[in-house]
Amino acid sequence: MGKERKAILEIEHLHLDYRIGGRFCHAVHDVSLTIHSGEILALVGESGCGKTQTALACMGLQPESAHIGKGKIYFEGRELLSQSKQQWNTLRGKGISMIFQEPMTALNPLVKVGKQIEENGRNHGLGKIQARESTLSMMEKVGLPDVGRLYSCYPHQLSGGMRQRIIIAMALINDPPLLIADEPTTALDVTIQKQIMSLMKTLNKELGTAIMLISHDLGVVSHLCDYVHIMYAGTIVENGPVHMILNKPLHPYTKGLLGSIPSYGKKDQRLDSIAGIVPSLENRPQVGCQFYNRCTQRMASCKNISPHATMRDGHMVACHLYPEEA
Amino acid sequence: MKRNFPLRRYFSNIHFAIGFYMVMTVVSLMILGFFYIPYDPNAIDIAHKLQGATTAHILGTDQLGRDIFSRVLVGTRVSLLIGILVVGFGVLIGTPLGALSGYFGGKTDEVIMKVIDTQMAFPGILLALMIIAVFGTSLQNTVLALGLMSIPRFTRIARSGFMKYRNAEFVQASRARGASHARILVLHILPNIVPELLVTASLGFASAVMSEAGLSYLGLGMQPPNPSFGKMLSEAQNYILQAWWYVLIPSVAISLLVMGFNLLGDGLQSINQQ
Repeated sequence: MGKERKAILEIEHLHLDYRIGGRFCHAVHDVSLTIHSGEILALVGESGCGKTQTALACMGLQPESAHIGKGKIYFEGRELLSQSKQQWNTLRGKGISMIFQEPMTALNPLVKVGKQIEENGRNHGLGKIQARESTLSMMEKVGLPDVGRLYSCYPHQLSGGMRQRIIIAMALINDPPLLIADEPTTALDVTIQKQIMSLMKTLNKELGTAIMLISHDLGVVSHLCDYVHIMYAGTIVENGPVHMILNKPLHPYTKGLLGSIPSYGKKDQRLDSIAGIVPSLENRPQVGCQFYNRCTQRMASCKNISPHATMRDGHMVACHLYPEEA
Repeated sequence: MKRNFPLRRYFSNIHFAIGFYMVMTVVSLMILGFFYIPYDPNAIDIAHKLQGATTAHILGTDQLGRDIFSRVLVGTRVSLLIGILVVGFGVLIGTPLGALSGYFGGKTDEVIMKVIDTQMAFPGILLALMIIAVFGTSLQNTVLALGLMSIPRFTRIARSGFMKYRNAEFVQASRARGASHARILVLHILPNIVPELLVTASLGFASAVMSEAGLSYLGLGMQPPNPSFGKMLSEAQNYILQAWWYVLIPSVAISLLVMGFNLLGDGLQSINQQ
């Protein structure tokens, strides 16, 4: 991370808790990460690991029952968590855009898609004609054919892939420095997934938009990202440049995730899976490693002592297998 | 669904079709009344009282010799006008309340719904009687009374609709684009619950017509000599043995309207669910 690039988004020690039965249960625990301009950062983990909660907190859209205890989020040097509703509204869609998992439901079924894209431009101060022009050019940029006709289509007339392109166009119309993509391809079939991923890569190159990509699929991430953060039960267990994580995973959880990706090399072999599920909010241990009960390499110390992040082979890992003094 | 006839979807629903024609029968009577009324509906002609159908009076005459057909033509105006005003009142006040309640939830929701529930617990006709007893009988007060009665149903429907969509992904997405609450409420959610509101409006219309007839029957709605279905019915009941048609005619008119709007509402509902 030593390159001379401007940090777009900095999350510092973010804690996000839910109050369940009079007790604070942390959905996000001490998460720190930095996204620099023009880079793609992936947040990877199973469902329920707090990836989406982290992303929503950056948009100020965390559920009302959530409570951000400690931590700071800086966007282009400005602290976000203390800003007013008005400031949030001007930031959303202009400074940070977000695209959602499900292209079928993320569009208003009763409004023409062109109008929906345009609305986002108009919300942030574009004039009517200007907004329409940039809508059409944005629709072309995301690879939609025949934009004049598609402009006045309703969402139900379009395929899933087209809708996801519309959503991307909508997110990028104001040329935001940061795009948060919450599992943008999960609801699409594989060929379309590939197209959307390469589209995002292209847009990242052309427009210089930094992307925070949330995914549960390391396979998808490997082609696209510069940095990967592996998240488990609300904490980041390992992070670093993507090739390092993929080639030399350290944390048992990362190894487990990698082991569960099908590939040519593993032909005729059984795919590994990580036994068990992510513990629910109420059942997460207060101390010790969150991954303890599913870990294949657990030790006695894992249960009682929370692991600290250590640098190892150019990336960061939080696991007792890699003690700090080394 | 063919493009050249977009209403086909509606008319292929038997409830909607029947309801539509029933309502249209009454509406066309009303329209006829604007252009042609055979007699002054309030003109008394004792010499020809309680006559059956004749060529001069095609639906006969009442106990004061007034032409029943003319009175029906004018009576439809009252019923439909009150229906429209009452539903309008309910929609304009009930929907925004429900929208705020469903969208914001929490304290707002609790306060609004407590008030609405309290109002629902009140027997409707009693509330109407109370208002009319206090403010006196007039068209405005009838509309006010029935309108207040119709607010809760719109509030409840709007609330459930806005609750359903407040965390919908497209709403979340427009929030993520920096849309204000007002924008989301009016432009993004409201259009999605129009079908439900239409059904409610249709059913509300039926019950407004019914309640108006009830109030007039009790002598608290339209005041004589102005014709109204409920009033005609209450006058007719004294002559039920001499002039059965006099009872039948306003009853049929009320039934047509009430059943028509109920069927219309049912039809719309099942079309929406398709």
